[in-house]
Amino acid sequence: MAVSQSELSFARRMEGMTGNVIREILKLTQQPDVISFAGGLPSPDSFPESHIRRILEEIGGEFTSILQYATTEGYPPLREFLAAWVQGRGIEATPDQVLILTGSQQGIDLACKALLDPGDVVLVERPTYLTALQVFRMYQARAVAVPGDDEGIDPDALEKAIAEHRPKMLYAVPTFRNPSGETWSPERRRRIAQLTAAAGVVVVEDDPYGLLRYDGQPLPAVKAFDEAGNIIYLGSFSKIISPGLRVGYAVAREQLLRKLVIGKQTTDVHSSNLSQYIVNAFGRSPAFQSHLETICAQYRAKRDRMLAAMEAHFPAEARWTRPQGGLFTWVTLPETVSTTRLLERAVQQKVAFIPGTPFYTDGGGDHSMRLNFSNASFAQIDEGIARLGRTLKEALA
Amino acid sequence: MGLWEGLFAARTQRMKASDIREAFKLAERGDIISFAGGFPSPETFPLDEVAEVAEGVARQMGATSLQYGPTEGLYELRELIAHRMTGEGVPCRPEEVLLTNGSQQALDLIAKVTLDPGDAVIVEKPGYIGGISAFGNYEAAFWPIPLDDDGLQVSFLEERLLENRAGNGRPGSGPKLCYVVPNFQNPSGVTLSEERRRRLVELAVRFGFAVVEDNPYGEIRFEGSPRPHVKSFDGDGRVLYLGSYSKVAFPGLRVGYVIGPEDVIRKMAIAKQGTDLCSNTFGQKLIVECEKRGLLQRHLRSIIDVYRRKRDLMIEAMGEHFPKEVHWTYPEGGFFIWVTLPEGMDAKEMLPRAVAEERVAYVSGGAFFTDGSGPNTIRLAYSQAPDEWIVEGIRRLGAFLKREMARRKAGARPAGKPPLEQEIGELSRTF
Ligand SMILES: Cc1ncc(COP(=O)(O)O)c(C=O)c1O
Ligand SMILES: Cc1ncc(COP(=O)(O)O)c(C=O)c1O
Repeated sequence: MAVSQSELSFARRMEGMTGNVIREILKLTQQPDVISFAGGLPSPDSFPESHIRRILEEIGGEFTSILQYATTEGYPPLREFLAAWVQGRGIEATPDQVLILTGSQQGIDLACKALLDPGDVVLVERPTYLTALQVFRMYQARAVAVPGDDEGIDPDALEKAIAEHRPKMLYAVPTFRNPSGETWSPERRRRIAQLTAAAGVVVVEDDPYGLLRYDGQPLPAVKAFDEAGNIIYLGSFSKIISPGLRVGYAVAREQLLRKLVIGKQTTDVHSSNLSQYIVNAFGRSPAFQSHLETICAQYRAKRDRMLAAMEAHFPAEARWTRPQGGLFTWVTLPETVSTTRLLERAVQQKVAFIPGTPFYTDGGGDHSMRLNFSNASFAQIDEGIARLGRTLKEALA
Repeated sequence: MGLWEGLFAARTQRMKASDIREAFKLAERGDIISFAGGFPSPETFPLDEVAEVAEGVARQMGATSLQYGPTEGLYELRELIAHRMTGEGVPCRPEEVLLTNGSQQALDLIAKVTLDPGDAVIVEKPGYIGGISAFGNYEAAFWPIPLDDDGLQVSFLEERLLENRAGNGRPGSGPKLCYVVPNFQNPSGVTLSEERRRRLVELAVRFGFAVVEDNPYGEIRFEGSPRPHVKSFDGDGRVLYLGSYSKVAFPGLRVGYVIGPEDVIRKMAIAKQGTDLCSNTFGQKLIVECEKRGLLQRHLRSIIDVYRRKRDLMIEAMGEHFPKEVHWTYPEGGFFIWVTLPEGMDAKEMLPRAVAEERVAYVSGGAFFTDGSGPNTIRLAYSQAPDEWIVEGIRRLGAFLKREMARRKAGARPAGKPPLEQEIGELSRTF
């Protein structure tokens, strides 16, 4: 009785839900000779393998508590470590205001679970992280994009959007944005914190890339300007230690945090104790700081390599961002080009990227694309960008 | 702050804390004997062997162990699970298996992909709090169906279904899901009979609902022969089967799974992408490695002995120390015994006194009902307490129950709120 079809009727929230476009494209690009700039994966060279191995070998007596059920809020030493650690981003928090997550992705889901009813509006950047858009749809919320520029969301546009849409939430990746690589200016951070506080809008500040800074001065998080307690800060170890561990965290005042905790109790009870133990042990070791410096140096070199290759091979009509950190650069082409259609040709040329449209709520962005520079080697970057440059030139010819 | 009350979603207004945390606090207070938390016994963890496996995993660890993994889980583990289930009468391909962060996540994902607000879900009365809350978070309406010694009363369910159909005849007004824990149920310890399993699936076909079969305890059977899985009677892909490594191996790495038709699994994988992208790879690798070495099978044999001994100790002590007006179930496996006190007694109200006077704790059973019934019931977990504590704790609880019954007879109201009230107050819901 090979059963493969079911009569189960799905919830309305599942209507039109298809797989994550990136994951689908990643499948397409898994042929070994395709050079992919599509994923957002950290480089395998960046993983602190030997440190993690040592930590695993030295667990000893803690194994019993690692194997047992634990509290939903997370491993207490890790929460303590994080409360101190986020001070580096200008955030004041007690360990009680930290919740350990199964990746920061879970923070997006739990915030929606706590806050959104069907039909509620979430304001987002244009373009924005596409898996977040997927979550908003799942909760039957309406994502409305607020225009901005290379310094972040435009405060006047934000005020207007708040007045017009009465949103529950603003979701943003203010530092080294996914997908554009851009970063909000300090002034915008302050203004947006004030504006949202005054309007009673919860901000979900998603910051998985903040510590991957290659030039310029570190900026305080938007959360650092949170006087009203309306900001949920999400951090992640996926891009600075390892995504396979699935450890992220939320920082918020108790009133909000408590609701995230209750949501998490029925979502997965708690995150893997072994992963939390590894992150805590590594995070507190002196090796962590030098590890961060090493991967920033690696990624800086890769970014530079890619920008230089783009300079050499891309047609004159193409524009792109020069990110000070993170994993992505964002390419804008003349409006006559559809990157959705271009992808097929690029894959024939054995190179892949993510077309811009999925990062938009309104079908825009079809003449743009996201390129990831962290995962490919230098040689692959050179060759892949050369191939992509040829494809672009052909398309524009 | 009024702001927040206005901001939270309707589902959030209904959410209540489950007090794993509080159970934990209590369990860690050295002087209190707690039968509250249904945690596996730490003495059963195969520490040395797991440490060795972990080292092996660490040694072989390549970049793939540390990178994002597939949302559906490691293919190797999906294959192992599919193979085992096929051997247990549920023919299954790896594509029909989705790995989750414990079976709790499977419950959340099922609710997420199937339930619209107001959709009806059949639940056991009493039933597993974590499951009921997962469905409640998506604003389900509950149909609680009572249990007896053979599990869910399927005839009773049939009557309700017929009544509902006769009542408004509107198609689609019936329940969408039926949630059952068929083996050594949490909280009652009872097991669904084979005949009822078959009939439940028949009803599901006739009335067009899906069955969620949650089976974290099934392999921990002390005696008697295993009943066929509910899913083994499934002819058209309407049973979703949930398994977990939490009770048979260890819960801390959060590895569970759900088995269902490929299209449902695909939807759940899409929902999981938005929830956490993928499960942690170490937990999965560790389980794969343990399975390959046959460690889990060996381990299972030894924990069955441990938990059987604990059950026997508790049942024997209950026979000796509990007043004769009190009744309890006799579980053939799993972690729990369900106690029914005489009508009119209120286990929740008594709990702070049990802790203050006798330093013993339990979960009051009312928490496992969705309709406010069951105030005179108690769940006892024998899984976690050391053997000596089981005997001593039951002695204390027996003495306490006798005293409470005498108090009731004398019409005496115990004076004042004991100091621990605050701390224990929330200890009503746990797994
Ligand atoms: C903006 C953004 N948020 C969240 C995530 C999820 O990361 P994780 O769940 O691994 O922490 C990602 C991953 O790519 C991301 O780009
Ligand atoms: C019936 C039942 N289902 C599911 C769970 C959740 O287990 P886990 O998420 O650890 O697999 C439990 C835990 O107590 C349970 O008793």
